[in-house]
Amino acid sequence: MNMQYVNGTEVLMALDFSSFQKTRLLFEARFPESFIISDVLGTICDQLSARFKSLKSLQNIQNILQNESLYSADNRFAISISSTKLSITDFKPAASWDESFEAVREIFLVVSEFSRLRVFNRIGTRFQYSVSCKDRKTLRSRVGEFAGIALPKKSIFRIEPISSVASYKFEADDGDLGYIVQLYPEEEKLEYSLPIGATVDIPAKETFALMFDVDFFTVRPVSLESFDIMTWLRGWQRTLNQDADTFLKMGQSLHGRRD
Amino acid sequence: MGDVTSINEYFLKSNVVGATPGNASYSTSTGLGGSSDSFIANLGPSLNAAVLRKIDPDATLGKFLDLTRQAIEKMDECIAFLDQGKNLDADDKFMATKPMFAEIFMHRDLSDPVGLIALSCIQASSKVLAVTDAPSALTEIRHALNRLWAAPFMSFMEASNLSDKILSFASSLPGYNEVALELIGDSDVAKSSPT
Repeated sequence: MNMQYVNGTEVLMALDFSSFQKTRLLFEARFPESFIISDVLGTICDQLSARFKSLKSLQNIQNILQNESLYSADNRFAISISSTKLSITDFKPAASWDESFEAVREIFLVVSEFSRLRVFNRIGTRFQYSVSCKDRKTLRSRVGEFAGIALPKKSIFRIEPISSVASYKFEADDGDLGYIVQLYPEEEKLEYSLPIGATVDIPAKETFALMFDVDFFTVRPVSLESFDIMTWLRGWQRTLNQDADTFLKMGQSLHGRRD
Repeated sequence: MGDVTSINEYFLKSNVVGATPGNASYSTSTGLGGSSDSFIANLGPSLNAAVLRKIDPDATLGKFLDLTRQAIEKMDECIAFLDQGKNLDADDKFMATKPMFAEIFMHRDLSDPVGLIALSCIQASSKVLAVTDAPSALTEIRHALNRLWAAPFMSFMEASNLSDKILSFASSLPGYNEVALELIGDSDVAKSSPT
């Protein structure tokens, strides 16, 4: 994180896109209900298992209730397939997006081919970036700064906040394509469940990160014969690299004016 | 319009065929609401490949779409000149379009249909000595290019059908007398010549 310390006190500096690190890539394709998908799921998994070193089923009661099949590939990708939706998440993107894009492309093509998908109601891709923060206070003030909102210092709605958090969401579309940009805090706490009587001294682990999450999506349906997934993924990645800084600067300058 | 397996898909494909390079999307009929098996009615208007050009105009697909759009526009002008009886202008326009088919063919890595249709256009256009010999071939080429522009990743079966149509018109061409006569100034004879 771009920080400076003055007399031992942390001073937040303006963030640019290069301060953020790749965190996750999510791809989602929604389609009209495919009744054949449950029949061909085995074939799809068979094809995918040739592509990945390890492919494991992660079925749980929630997936079953949602009529969804969940798989983990190479302990990195989560693949969820249901009769109306395919979603792929890369939890460990490499320095270059190419590896992620190639995996997404292959999964998408296998599922489309064997499920005979021809039209997609919506195709979306989320690029998630994060920048870690020292503590909760820094994180929340950082989010407030981007959100352009001064955190309330007095009682509002008869509640005097001892804890408050803001987030920022902006949605836009041109009738064909759209995007949602979000800035929000992500706090992760690692908790252990030990057997009764066990005493192990494990320090509690908490991490704080400011998330920069951009979701690009189609507003209207698109057919497979008009869609090229690599142009889609690479195009949005280039666009993001070009315009992310403009967006971040706008958010921060807005806050500056309000102050 | 090969490989159509349902009436819904027919509507989808017919609308994509009807798309023009001026738009990133086409409007589908909205009068299908009562049809129980019509998913198109529920989905509404769809997008075509031009939407990907918006995202990345410098990508291979973007360049292919630009090139194909230019070829379609030239074919449109050629057909318009032909309709107006300006055979020489039509012929000039068609000759100027020929090299573009080869350029489109260079993008065959995008998909097999791109290669197949571009190759058919090259083969057909190389047989056309005078544009007045094959006015129907122009329409077929234009139709195939339009479809290719909207759906470069169409099925190979559909691309084969389009290719067959292009080549069938180019298989028998009578000659280029009309243009030759107009070129030497005997335009009255040219206009009265049977096409």
